Amino acid sequence: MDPMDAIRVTFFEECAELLESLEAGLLALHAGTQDADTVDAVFRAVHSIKGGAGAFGLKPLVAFSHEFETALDALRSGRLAPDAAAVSVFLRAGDQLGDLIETCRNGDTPTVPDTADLMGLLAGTDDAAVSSDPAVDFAPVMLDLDVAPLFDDAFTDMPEATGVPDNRTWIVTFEPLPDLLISGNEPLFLFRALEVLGRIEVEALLEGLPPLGNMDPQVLGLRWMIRLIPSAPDLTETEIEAIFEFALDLCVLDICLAPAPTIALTSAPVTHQSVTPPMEGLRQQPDEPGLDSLPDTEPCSPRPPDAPATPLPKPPPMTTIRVDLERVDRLVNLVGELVISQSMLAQGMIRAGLDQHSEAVTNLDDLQQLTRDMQDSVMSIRAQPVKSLFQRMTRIVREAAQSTGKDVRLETDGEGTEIDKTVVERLGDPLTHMIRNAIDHGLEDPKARTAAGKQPTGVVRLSARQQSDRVVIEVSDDGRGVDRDRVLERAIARGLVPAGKILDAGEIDRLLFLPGFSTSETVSSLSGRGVGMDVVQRAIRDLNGTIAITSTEGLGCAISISLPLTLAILDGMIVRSNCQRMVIPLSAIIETQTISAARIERLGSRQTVVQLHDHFVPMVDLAQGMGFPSALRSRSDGSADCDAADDDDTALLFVQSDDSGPFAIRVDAIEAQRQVVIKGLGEDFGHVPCVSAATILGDGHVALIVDPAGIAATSGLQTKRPTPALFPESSLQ
Amino acid sequence: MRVLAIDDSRTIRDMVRLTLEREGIETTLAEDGLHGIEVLDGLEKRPDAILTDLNMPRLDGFGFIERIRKQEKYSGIPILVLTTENARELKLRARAAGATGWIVKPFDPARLVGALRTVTGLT
Repeated sequence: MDPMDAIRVTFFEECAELLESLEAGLLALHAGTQDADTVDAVFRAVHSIKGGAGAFGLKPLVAFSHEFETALDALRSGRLAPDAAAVSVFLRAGDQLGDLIETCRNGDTPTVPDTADLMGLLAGTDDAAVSSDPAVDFAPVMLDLDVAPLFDDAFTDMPEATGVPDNRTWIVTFEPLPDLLISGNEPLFLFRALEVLGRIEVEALLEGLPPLGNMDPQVLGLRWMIRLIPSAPDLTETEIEAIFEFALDLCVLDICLAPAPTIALTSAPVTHQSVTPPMEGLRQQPDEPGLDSLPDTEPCSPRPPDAPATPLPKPPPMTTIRVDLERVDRLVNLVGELVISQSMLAQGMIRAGLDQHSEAVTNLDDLQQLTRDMQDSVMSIRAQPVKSLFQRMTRIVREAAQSTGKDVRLETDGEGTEIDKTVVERLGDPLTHMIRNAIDHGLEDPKARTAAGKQPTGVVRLSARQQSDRVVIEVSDDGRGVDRDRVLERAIARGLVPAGKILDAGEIDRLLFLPGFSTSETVSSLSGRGVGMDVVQRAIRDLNGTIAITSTEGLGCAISISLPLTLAILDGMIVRSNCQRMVIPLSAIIETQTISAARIERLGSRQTVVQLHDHFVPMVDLAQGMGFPSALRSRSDGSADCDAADDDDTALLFVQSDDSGPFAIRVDAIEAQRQVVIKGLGEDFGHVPCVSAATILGDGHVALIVDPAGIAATSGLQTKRPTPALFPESSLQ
Repeated sequence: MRVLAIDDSRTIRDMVRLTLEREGIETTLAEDGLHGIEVLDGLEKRPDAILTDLNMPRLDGFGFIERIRKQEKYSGIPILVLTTENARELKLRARAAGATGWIVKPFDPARLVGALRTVTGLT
């Protein structure tokens, strides 16, 4: 990759981070925070985006962030109060900035969003005149370096001195003060810079030089007189002085026109405050006192001059490093391999007949503990708080509230809960959809809420918490809840459920997860975007997660997602079915039972059912469900493990997939509950029904990880779905 | 030549490093003023010049320059301010703090390198 392309990638990554901190800061302001650090951070985020955008010549982005920054500067300097109205404008501007960055990232040509609101904020402040001028003195042009006058043109070829008359010759006397060298200024460099303006003759004046024994290496003791014959006839004193801009405090400078062809030193050198500094059209007070008179009081930090001069507290040292994700993943993989080879070692030792209490076995136990700790530590590197994800949702809520005309407040909880980075990234879309749904379908409008005796402002709650080795994320609202009569009625009308079928409340609620299911009278622009809750469910399942809905009529609805902490390890039940060992994710298993074959009931010629508490649930044979050919199913590889299960006992795992009610999977034997390291099947395989991934067991054998939902689907246990083509979403209206 | 460049933007840091290293300038980076001081204190050889942004968290460019100028061991190191700002009042403040020069971002690579060569007298 071209290094610049890599930096471009960095820039957009950084923009995402900056947008996050911008939003976090603005939300804190919205919540009433007034502290200067927050305002500074907000300002800096926009400022940094502008800086980077300039480097890539992204003019619209520079232009918009400049306006945004100008308005934020008013906030920072206290000219603008962070009241609710102003913060809302900033939040909206933040959204616009995000969109603009996204457009630039995609390489599309953006248009600069309307900044009338931002500028409106400045209407009552001193900034009004400056900010309303679009031609602010910032030239976001790539390669158009605006070096300060000190350097300006200092590196171009020296121009030929033109034949200007002698009375245009300037005499510059320059006497460095002791600090000049300490501040890094070099007289020679200043003279070189002067050369750009014309031909110069430099004469060193040695009368101030102390005797050799008294010389201080940090003090020059020299004065210079420079005769400057300008190459441009209209050279001004200001232009000459600009060369010395950074040395003005550190020298006595005199600039004057030579009155006659002969050189005459001015009698009384003056300090710089006697000359008018260039104003550059900015906000300097005309009566600003000379800087020399204020050497100790000139503020040197960005705090306002009246702020108390407290010493900066000692900040904590930098405690983070940035590591390429690929390196972390390599480490995660290696630790996975270590776990596998260690369990192979453990099994090898058992086979070798080592005593349980032998030293080798005890040491191996210690090693196992260490490996587990190491695995946890490595996984925690990939873990990220869900905070950034939750923050993004505030915008979704704002937009959805705006477009539905509902009053919505978002409450969040457990933002510090950590989960795998990939999970955080892939939860964005499902959460967005769930929140839109909650606002669009769940919450009533303010009038209906008041009529129902509720507060007019609806509440959407987004929470995260860790529950043993899983993270539960819940989106809930205090709206009307699922209207079950209507859901069932529509499901029957759509042919999703046979008429007259009695479904319990949970079953009705789960109908919402069917593709294309829409209970809205009209498909709104908000949630009716062609994706339904089925897409949400699939996304969650892809993350080895489960989704559940609970609803109370009139009080609200909650959808909770349970996700594994990591995508690299799975808690599974190792089972055996027809000489194959397979892993069934523990998260899907409700219960395991060993029953006698006599308790399996037949329903018609093909279906079998077993009893689970008060219900009968369908039963599927794992090998059959996986579609193993019968040859394989009857084959025995000769190992003792592979004997057919005892005919009298049948091992059953009751599982619950999202698409179906509970069902039983029959296996030959349930071996053990293990954490397994998830290995992808590899790209060559594409999607294999009923298989989500694979793992390597302790004995070195590969075992497939079963996808229970896939088993349900291939065995026809799923609730019947309409063919999407026959029921496009628009036809459901 | 050895240069310490301080900027809170990763993008700008990467760009400065790319620009300088292409010219064979040994570049050390820091993320804000305080980090700059930490890095500077940890360097085996002091840099020939320092580039610093102004607006940074924890310790800004003004504060950084002030603190460096107070330490004799760093005296005489040219410090160039590299910033998107171009306001005279800020330039005056930077100068009062002890800055040597001012370069406005976005920067032209050749001129950034040229400025460094001039203030250090090194190639």
